[in-house]
Amino acid sequence: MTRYLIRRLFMTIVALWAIVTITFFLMHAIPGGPFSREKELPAIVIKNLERRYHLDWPMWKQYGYYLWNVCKWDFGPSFKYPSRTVNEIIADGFPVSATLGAVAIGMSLLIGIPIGIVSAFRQYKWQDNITRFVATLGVALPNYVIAAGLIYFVGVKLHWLPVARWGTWDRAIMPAIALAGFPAAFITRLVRSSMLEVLQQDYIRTAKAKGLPGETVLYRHALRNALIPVVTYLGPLIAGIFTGVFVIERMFAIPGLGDAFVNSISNRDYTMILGVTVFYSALLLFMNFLVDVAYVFIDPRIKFLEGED
Amino acid sequence: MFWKRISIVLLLAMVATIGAAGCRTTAQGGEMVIRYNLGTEPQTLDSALATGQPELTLLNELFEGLVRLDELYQPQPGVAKSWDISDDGTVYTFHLRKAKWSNGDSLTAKDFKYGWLRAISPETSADYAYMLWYIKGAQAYTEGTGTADAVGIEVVNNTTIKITLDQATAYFLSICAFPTMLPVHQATVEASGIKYGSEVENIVTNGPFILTTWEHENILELVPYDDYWNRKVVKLDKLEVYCIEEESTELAMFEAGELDVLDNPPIEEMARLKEEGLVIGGNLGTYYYLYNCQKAPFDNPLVRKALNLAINRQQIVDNVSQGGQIPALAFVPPGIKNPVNGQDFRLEGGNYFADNDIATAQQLLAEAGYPNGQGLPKIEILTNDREAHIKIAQAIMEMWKQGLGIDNVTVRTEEWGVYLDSRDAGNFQVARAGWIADYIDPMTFIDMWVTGGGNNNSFWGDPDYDALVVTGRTNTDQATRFQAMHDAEDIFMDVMPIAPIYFYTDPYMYKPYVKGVIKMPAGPAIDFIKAYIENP
Amino acid sequence: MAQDEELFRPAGGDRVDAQAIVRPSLSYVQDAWRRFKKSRMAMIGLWVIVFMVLAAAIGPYLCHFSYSDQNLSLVNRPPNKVYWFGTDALGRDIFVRILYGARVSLLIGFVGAFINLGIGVIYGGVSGLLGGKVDSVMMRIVDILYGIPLLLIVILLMVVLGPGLKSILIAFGLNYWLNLARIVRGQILSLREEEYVLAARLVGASQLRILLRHLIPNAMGPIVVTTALLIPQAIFLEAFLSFIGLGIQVPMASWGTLASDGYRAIRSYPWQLFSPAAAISLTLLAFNFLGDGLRDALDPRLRR
Repeated sequence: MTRYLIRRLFMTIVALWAIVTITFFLMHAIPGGPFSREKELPAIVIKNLERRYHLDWPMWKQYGYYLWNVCKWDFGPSFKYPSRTVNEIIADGFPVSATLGAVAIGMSLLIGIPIGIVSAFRQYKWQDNITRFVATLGVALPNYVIAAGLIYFVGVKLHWLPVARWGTWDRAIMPAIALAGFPAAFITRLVRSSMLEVLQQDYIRTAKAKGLPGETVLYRHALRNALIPVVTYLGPLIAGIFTGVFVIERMFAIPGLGDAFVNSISNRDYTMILGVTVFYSALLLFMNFLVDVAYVFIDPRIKFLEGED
Repeated sequence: MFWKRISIVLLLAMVATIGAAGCRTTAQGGEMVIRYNLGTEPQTLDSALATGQPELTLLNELFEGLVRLDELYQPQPGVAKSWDISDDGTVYTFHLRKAKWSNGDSLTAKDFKYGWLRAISPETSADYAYMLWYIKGAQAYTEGTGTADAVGIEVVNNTTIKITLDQATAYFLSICAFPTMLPVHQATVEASGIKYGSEVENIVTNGPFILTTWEHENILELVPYDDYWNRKVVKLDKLEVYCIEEESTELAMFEAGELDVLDNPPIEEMARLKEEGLVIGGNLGTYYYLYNCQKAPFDNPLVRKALNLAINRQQIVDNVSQGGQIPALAFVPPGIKNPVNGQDFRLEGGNYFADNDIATAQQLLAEAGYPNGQGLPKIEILTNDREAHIKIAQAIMEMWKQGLGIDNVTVRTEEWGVYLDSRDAGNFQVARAGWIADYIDPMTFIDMWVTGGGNNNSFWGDPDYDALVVTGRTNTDQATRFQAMHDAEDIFMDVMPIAPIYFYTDPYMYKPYVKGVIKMPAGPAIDFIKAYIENP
Repeated sequence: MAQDEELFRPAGGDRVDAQAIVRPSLSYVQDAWRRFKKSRMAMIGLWVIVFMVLAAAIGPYLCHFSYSDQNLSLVNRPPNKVYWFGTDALGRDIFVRILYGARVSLLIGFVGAFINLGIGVIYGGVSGLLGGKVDSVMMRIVDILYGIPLLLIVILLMVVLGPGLKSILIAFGLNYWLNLARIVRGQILSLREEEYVLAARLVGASQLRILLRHLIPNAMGPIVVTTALLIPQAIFLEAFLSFIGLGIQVPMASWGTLASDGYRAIRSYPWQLFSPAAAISLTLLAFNFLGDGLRDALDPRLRR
């Protein structure tokens, strides 16, 4: 088992290196440098700026310098906000995005799993049909459409919730719903089909035949196995929330990292783009790694499968 | 039982998760607060490095320079209570009042000199260093060929400062209101280093407001500065500044009562908002299309003129941009007064052609050798990727097709940074552009087009034009200057290296209880120094 | 005791009868189709998609207006007799733009899904078939790539390549083949030990032939389902990219660009958002039902 985990760790590091390299070269291939302005800068000023940010070094030297700084976890100053470092901007924005993401993930799990279970138990009855319909709707609308609808109806028309910005707990509700819509719906369907499959298994039949009450069957036998696909889905789920955050943060004026990232691309803020990419990638990879570890404990079969490799 | 259990768990968990998102309340109770959206996170509050209009707005509230702009964008006494100008117009002597920084230190002439030298120093690499190059020796200092001591700034005593210019410049006082010319607190800069201007604790200010909170990308809170020399005109208790970028979200907040000022109405809602009290304010700027005069067929003035005349500006303004803009039939916008006779420069200069003059356009095109648009190569309009510009480009594309029979026009959309680079490099045929005045004088528009000028992206040039620009810039007699500028515009609009589309406007809306807000046609654009709330 | 032989006659039927096949022999495809037809929702989904494709293909030819015809004096009109879905901010007919957008979005969906299918199947198939070291290395690469948030790379790539149809297809092609490759490989690995593969090899069939003729057709089930569900993902991705400004170029329309144009006008001109959103939802629903139906139909374990 440790060999497996060490191997996963190694691959994580390789992936991270690959990301940094690809992003670095891609970004320098983008036309449009960071010092383009509507009112043209005098050449001397541009030169000074380039000197300050080492943009006049040869590419390989810049790359090496950057790699070294990444290892020190130093992403340098932002181009667009010269008095702030990328680390600071990330430190400001990340807790916000993380909170929003966590709320959204929590919502999607807490809604998706129980409803999926209920739906499986009442297969083809009206509870199931309604759930399946709503769930399918949830995966069919782009999240900014949901967000626009929420802002308009719940915020402006009904005044139930504040429309935008961040800080109080009630401001987190609408953006989290918009973010959680798709994953919640997906998880509902996932849990439902997985639960249905599990319920057909022999050991369930045995448990029922033994006379165990429905709930014990559910909790002790079925649930653990039915939730395995959900754990597998956690990886893409987090990645999905992470991309949804770009859009939602912008629409609800939430000062998170997602919005900062999209802006940094428009601004050609090289250091910021690299920093956020590395940071987010590291985070995602780490999350996936955790999922792998969790998987080892949940599904005993994996130990043997990997052993064959 | 099963149902109940699950739903209780659900509910509890949801509440817990949301509760964990943190609690914070914003106190309101009895204070006079205005909530305003800046539209973006301010890049920096370092007056030497700030470049955008949002930063200008904030700097104008937090700082004050020698002069302060009023609602007509005219310089009024600020920290300088009076000034003398030498007869030849090259030496300005400012007499400062006794003033203090927000941390209690006295504000003296030395702070001004420090701020200015810092702005033009080669180490700072300030974007707007060139605004100060009117001062003798300044350009040399920035470019590294001269020293700081050779720059024409002299601190006579604590309350007197003398500036010597290279040449007489009629609008220099307006330039003094520019953020690059604000005073700077030296000790704070030296203590903060690179972080100066990025956090509350790294700024010391001297203007009508002080900064009490700065949560990045989220909110800035300003309260009145009690030792400001004109404290009595400031009526607000607090100014809350948000950083919302999405226009439709700003509108939603305004309509839901979470914002008191609407400054960036989305173009889609213009029609509806105009009926609900949207004000169309003045804005000194021109929206135009650039031709690359080095590339055929745009090197032929007849082709350029034909394309210009075929545009129906009124339709664009009424139906596409819907912001109450004014169709532009010249380059310099209305709103600049000729001091000699009080006339508006634009009214004096008149219009240079008729809007939507299809007949003449077709005739000119035929004269140029492309009757009915035949034989013209593919035309590509370059624009950056904002909705409004893309829409206008599409509309113009159709107009050229309908009016002139040119049907191979395409639109190329590029992201902002890429678009700027393409434009600067001449990598376009027709490109969308806009220019807002830096100061109130026609020169800010006229001197763009000198041959080889840094902002002359049309690659057009004319020595007669250049000569007139020199006269306009340096001649001290206003009548001569203004005549020269009119003549220059005549030359310019005769060959039309650009296609003016409309003159900008500034649509905005206040809640009915908001009063006293000052709106300016350029620069900081909005000033809350005298704003207050009338109790509903 | 003497038994009455009469009592011990066989119950009936010849031995031969016992070998008779009771139900008609169905090929895999026939069986799948039969099961598929049983699910009403899946059939509805199928018909909706067929209808959409037809509407996209020939619809624009049957309309008065072209997708780029502007009428600046009729901007932002609500739906009426002439303009069934109303007009947009440049006076263009939204109805024909939705049909045209269907073309673009469905094209992105199908082509994108098939690109991923192609890459995934070939990669996974080769990896699974060759096995051993090659398989290890290839799967390592997949594992590494799996961890990279490809969307970031995609965004950067699109900025480099410039927005447009081509870059969306490239971007999409890079994003989703990994999962497919894994599934295909898994299937191949389990199938290649089957007896018919052994038989084919004994007869002398080449690897390629085995792959194409035997393995892939039998692995089709999960592959088809996954591909069918890739199409809605492509449409979603396109909507997302349009929102952040990396969509297709004007004056072309796709559902994504129509939706992101429309959502800003939700208060003043709600129909501008409603029609593309409805179109997207309907199509996505249809594909999801189709995918569900396919999954139920193609899974041999559920054969009844």
